[in-house]
Amino acid sequence: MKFSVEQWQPEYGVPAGPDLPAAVPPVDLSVEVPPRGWGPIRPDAEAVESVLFADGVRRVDASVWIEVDQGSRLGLCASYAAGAVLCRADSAEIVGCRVERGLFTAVSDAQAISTRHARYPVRPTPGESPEELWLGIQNRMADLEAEVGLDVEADLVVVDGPLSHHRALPRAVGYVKTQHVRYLPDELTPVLAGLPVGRRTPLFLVGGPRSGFSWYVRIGSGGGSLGGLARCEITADREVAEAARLADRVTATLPRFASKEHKDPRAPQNLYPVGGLERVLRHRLGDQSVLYRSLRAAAI
Amino acid sequence: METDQVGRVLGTEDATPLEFWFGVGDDVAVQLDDVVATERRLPGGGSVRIYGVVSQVRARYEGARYDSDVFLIADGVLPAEISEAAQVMATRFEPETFVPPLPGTPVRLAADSEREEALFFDRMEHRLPIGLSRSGEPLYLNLDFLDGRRGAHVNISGVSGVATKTTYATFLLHSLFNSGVLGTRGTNTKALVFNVKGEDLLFLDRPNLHLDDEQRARYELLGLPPRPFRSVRIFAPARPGPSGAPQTAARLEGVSAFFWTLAEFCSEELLPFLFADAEDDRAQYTMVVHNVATQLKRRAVPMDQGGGVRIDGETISTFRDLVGLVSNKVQDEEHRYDWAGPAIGTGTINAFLRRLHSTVRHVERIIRGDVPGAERRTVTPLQGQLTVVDLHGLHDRAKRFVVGVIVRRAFEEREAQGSSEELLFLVLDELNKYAPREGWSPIKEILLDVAERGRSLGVILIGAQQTASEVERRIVSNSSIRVVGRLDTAEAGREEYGFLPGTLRQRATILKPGTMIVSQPELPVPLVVEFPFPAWATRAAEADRYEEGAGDPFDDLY
Repeated sequence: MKFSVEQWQPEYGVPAGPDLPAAVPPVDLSVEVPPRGWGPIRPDAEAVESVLFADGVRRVDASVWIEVDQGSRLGLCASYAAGAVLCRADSAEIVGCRVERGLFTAVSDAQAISTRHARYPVRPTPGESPEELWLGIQNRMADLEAEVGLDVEADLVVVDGPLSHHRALPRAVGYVKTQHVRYLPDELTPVLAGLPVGRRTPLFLVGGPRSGFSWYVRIGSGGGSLGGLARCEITADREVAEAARLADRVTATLPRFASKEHKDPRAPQNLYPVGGLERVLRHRLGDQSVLYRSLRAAAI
Repeated sequence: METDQVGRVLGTEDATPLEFWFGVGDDVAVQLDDVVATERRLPGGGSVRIYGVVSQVRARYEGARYDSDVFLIADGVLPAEISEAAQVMATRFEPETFVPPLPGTPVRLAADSEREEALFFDRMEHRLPIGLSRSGEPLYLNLDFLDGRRGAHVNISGVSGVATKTTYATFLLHSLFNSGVLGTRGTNTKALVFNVKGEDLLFLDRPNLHLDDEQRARYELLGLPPRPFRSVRIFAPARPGPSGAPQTAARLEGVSAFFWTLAEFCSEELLPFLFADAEDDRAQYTMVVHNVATQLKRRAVPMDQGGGVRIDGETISTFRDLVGLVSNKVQDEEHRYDWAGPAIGTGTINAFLRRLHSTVRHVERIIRGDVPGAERRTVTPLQGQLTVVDLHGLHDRAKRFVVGVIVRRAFEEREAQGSSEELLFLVLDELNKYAPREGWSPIKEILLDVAERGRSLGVILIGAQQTASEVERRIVSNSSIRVVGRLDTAEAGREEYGFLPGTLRQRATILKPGTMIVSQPELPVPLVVEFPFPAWATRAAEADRYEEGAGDPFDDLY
């Protein structure tokens, strides 16, 4: 297979990411408390003893142009990794860590690229637009994320980001740091703004393809009235009372892991174990300039 | 990992031929002074074995970015891994191709023959045990650099009290006499030890009560017998008064007195040794001193008994009288020209006399002519294997006199013999008092003579001082073997200790008693040695009353 490496470093020709603003799905605010009675809920539970945090990182090492009969088509050589940290009372241990690489492309007869330092097997994607290639990386990374740490015993599994690929895991909680979508109507904003640290909102049910129970929790202070808020989600295949118990446990557990501003630019929502895990995973991806150089060498 | 592998060469720190770091493997402990080996393949076949000594070990959290992360890690919030790495100072390349080890190369502990090779022990034909490593293995010195063949002299520095300088010097003597390294020369090799402080060295022939089995085992590891010195003669200054008995407090038996008769004082021109202070060097009266000494030599007639002299018809039997006579002679108009010298002003003569009078009190008991039958007092290192001269009770001026006279006599005897087969070791602490960096004195001159020419005459100086920076440069630089005990932090930074790499300099400030750093010419890295507890008593309380093998005197009663 003949290919060439894009001269521009991959960061230049890449979209912001696949997290495009989604349409607001239908929301039912009255599953736990009717909207009129909404207020901060103090969790009626103790923090759990062991929490497993799962996360993944991805990086495009180079954009490549694969030569086909009609010219050349885009592919992305990417490295991605997923791992998990098991936190107990006195230890935080990385219990799973997997690194993969791939050539993401829609070219049907593409072949794996082997370089001096790494091998990029073909990971076919349905479409060939940059966004679709990126989504391919994202999906493959999420699959990997769902695989690591599966066999680890933990009271709670916190997935960084939406629950998407962890829906099969009963104790899994999606932890969403950024609020791209407004699920609550304007009249409930004061409830969010007045939420004390370590308290949560009542549950609300989000419909649509990613249906599930959701709630907001204030993980730490700082960043204005809406700062320090995170949204958690769990699957909807359970009773409301059970979901509320789980929400209480999560709310009681998470503030311990909130980061401080001087240590993390995404504080307090970016949790310490996740930040630490991401650094380790990024490191395990290998040095980008070395990989880029070896890809250029392999293209000759 | 292989069983003896302890890690791999790091790639995050530069690996150089002289110094490199390796990551310490899991479940392995690497400590300072461990001897390690690694290999480097060369293009075109062949490989180089690189040996070194661990000079630093560090541990850190990987994954922690801020100091306070350590609390998060301990609380189980932030994941981190502990990583340990050790710094190695290379000692030897076999064959000598100076290439760095490559990152990732396995590093192993060097044992047995590899350790010998790493520390050059395999090249030492005559090796002297100098102590044990931290892991309890014997360490050696190449005798060729001590006995004059390729080098000579030992210089020991360290803070008083904790550096155990004198004890290490005596341990070296013990090793020299008992390891068999001297071969046939051992029987005639002698040592002359000056006891300058306390009564530490007056019990070298007594077993140490506090020597336990653990320490005995350490002697065995070194191949040395855990026993005191055998042939020891001890001299102490004579008491004032006609008895001429030795003056010691702690030890009464087996001690001989030493002093010089007035006849010797005159005939051997010992007067200059009384003017050996730094201030004497600056004074104008040096000329007077030498003229008076010459006159004493020329005019003194020894008496038949007691060591006194007659000068110009006057009978002199005490040092005080002698000073009185000299005083009269140099002040008398008639004799001044002969005794003091031509064109010497009254001021100079008065300065000389002030100085001379002030010594009387300090030396009159060791320079005298009033002791009948004084043949035992002669201090000569040729009598026992080990001769100890006790100076601790003497004033500094008297100490300088004694050291200067005895060393000169020993050195002159050697010069007359001209052979270096039999060795004579001189052990002298507080070298800074006898050979200070600044100024000139007859004692400094004789010590310099020993340092510069002693090597070829078989006279070996084992000198010690608190601070090498205060001792005559040429004496220190002529010492092939440099030893350092605990050093003062400010002192450790001085250029005199340039032979210590940075980490060892730092370490010298925390050394425990019984641990020394020994540098020898062949090894590029000084060795940290631990020497066993002395098998001989170092003070009265430790001394076992009964000689080894004498048995219990009460045995017969049962």
